[in-house]
Order: sequence, then C-alpha cells, then structure tokens
Amino acid sequence: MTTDIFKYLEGNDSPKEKDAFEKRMTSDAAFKEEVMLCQNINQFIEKKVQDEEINEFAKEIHYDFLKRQKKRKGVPTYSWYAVVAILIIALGIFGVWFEQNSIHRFYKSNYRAWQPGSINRGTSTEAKYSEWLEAYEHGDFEFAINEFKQLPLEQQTDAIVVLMYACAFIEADEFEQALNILNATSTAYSTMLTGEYNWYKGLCYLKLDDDLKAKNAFALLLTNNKYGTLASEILKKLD
Amino acid sequence: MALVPNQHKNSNDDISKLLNRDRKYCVQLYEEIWHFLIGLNKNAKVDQSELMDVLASSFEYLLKNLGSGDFNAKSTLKTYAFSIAKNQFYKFFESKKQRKHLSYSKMDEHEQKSDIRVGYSDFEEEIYRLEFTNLSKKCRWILRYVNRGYTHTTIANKMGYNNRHVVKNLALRCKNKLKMLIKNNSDYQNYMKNDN
Repeated sequence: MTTDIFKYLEGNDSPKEKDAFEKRMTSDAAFKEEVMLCQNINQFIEKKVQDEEINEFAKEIHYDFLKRQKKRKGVPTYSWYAVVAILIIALGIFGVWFEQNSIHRFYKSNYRAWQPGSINRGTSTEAKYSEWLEAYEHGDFEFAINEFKQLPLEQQTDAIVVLMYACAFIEADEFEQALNILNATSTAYSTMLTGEYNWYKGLCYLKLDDDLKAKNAFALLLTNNKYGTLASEILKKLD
Repeated sequence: MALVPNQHKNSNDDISKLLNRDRKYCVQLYEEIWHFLIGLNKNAKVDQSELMDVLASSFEYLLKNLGSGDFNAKSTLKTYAFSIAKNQFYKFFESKKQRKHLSYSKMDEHEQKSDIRVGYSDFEEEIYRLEFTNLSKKCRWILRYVNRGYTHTTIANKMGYNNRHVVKNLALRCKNKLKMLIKNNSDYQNYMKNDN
C-alpha cells in the first residue's frame, strides 16, 4: 500500500489509478493522512539529496579556488637576471630532483592506507561507526574525513580510528593535517600502534620534504619487527 | 528552477551556468565573492581562515536558495550573491559578539532576508541518518553516489553493473525503501503528529 502511495506521488499512476486514489482521499480521512505523511517524506528526501549534492559541489569549488590562490602567489615577475638565475638554479635542482625522485619512488611503492583487518566492529547499535569503517575500507576517504566528527566520542579517541582518520587525510594529500592528528594523539593511546604512527609520520614528513623530521621518525623504527627493514632502507637514501 | 524574465538579461545566463554547475564560472564567482568579503573585512579584521568559512557557507547558501527559487528577479545574480555574503558575514560577527564595529541592522531589508532555507529539521536529519544505516550495503552505496551527483552510467561502471538502467531501477527501489523505513519509524510518526 505504501509503495502504491509513493508511486502515486511520483506521478507514475495511470489516469484511472490516479482518479481512484483521489476519490479515496476525499472519502477516507485516515488514508488522506497517510498520503500527506508520505508526501512529507518525499519532499524531505528530495531536499536532503539536493543539499548533499550542493555540499559536495561547493567543496569542489572551494578546493579549485584554493589551488588557484596558491598558483597566483607563486607567479614570478620575469627579468633577464631572473631568467639567468633560474637557469643556474635549475641545474642544481635537477641533481636534487634525481635524488629526491628515488625517495618519492620509495614512498609510492611503500605507502598504503592502513587497513584495520579484523577488529571489533561494534554492535548493531553502533551503526555510525560500522558505516564509517565500511566507507574507509572501501576507499571512501572523503566520507571518512567528513563523517569523523559524527562518530561517538569513544571512537574519536580510539588509537585505531584516529590512525585511519590520519590515513584518510594522507590519501587526500593533506599531509600537514595528517601530521597534526598523528602528533596530537597521546602516546598513552598509541602504545600498541607506536610503530604505525611513526611510520606514517615519517612518510608525511617525506612528502613535505622535511628530511630531518622524517629521519627522526624512521630512526625510531629500526628495532620494529614490521617496519625496521624499510626504515633502514629509507634512512640510507636520506643520508 | 524556471528562469524568470528579468530586467538583467545577463543574469539568466549566469543562473543557468550556476545551476548547470559550470565549473569555470563557479570558481570565478567564488573569487568575486571572496574579494567582496575582503572589502567588508577591512575594518573588521576577521582572521583569513574564518573569512574562508564565511565564503564557503555563502556559496553553499547561494546554491541552495537558487535551487529553492528564492532569487529576486529584480537584481543581478552577483548582487544577490553579495547580499548573501554580507548577511553571512554580519551573522558571523554577531556570533563573535563584536557589535561595536558592525551592526546587523545596517544591512538592507533584502539582505537580511537572504537567508538559508533548509527545508527540514535537525530531527528529520537524524531520522534520515539512522534509517540510512538500516539499508543494505548495496543500497547505501548507490544512494551515496546518486547524492553526490554521479550519473547512472558512472555508478554502473563503479559498481560493476551492466548498464545504467539497472542502476536507475535499483536507485529508485532503494530510495523507496528508505522512504518506507522513515515512514514506519515510530518516532518520526509521533514527530509528524505533534508538528501538525
């Protein structure tokens, strides 16, 4: 019956069916009330869908705008001296780039967003967390970033969830934000994941070209079972 | 939304560019709103990152108000956009309680009315989120993609369906399922009874 009401409201009825519906509404007050309820739901859902699309589009425009602002600030004013200076620097940069490229190749071949594997996914009453986890595992990192604050406080302070949250920012190339999260988490929470936290911090510092801090982070992993060998490899490249 | 005949014929072009999500035009308009806010901010000296928030919310409200048909046909789209930005800027200031520098009442009447129309309450939003999680995994993903504006063809490719018609039918079934769940939610039924 309810499906019939939604079908009528979407205008998918034949003229005969539509007539029968409208006649029933005039004679049956309870039925009319039910139709009004379904109409409210229809309108509310359409509005909600529209709003979500608008939110997503507005975010995209904002990011495009920010990129344009950054690009504008970087435009140099040209002169012959600047051109010569740029040529001289370019040669030096090429050498550095060649070396850096191997570091970025290392990053590319060794970075993966941390996956939780089999962990407690919460009971059926913890629907938000379950949905959030699912989205993260499916690679919907944007959802993970946007919906983190909707999670219960218990999950927002959980070391595992915070690590995934940080990885979501890494996936979005927001390394500074990822570092803010990883550095803000208390060591008391992150004891069991100290290796992971230092590993991802190191990778973020690499991407931000902060070799000193990257070295410090990787140096802490030399005795780590999981990351020790990789840490040793990257430290040789950074020396 | 039907384009209204208006004394500013360029406005109809601008509105359709915005409604059709013309990216180049939208970023350009976004920049213009930003420069307008910088001008407003000269005496107020609001922090840049907070001004960015005002910019983002102004643009969102502009899109939402256009979608719900609240655009005043007598002004250009840019004027309307700026009036929304001004409204948001002053509201932000009120919330920061810095009234000695600026006053909400300094805005024109039409600027005060350039406000967001949400169309649903916080409670309805909560019910939507709750019942959304009660859908099957497949339905949730389809509706997420649809809500983000992906075409049915794109969704079919992403989810491994044969063609867009399959996605279209599935999306309709999932949406109806969600509507049924909301309708059968006893808290929602009580809320609607009290509201009426």
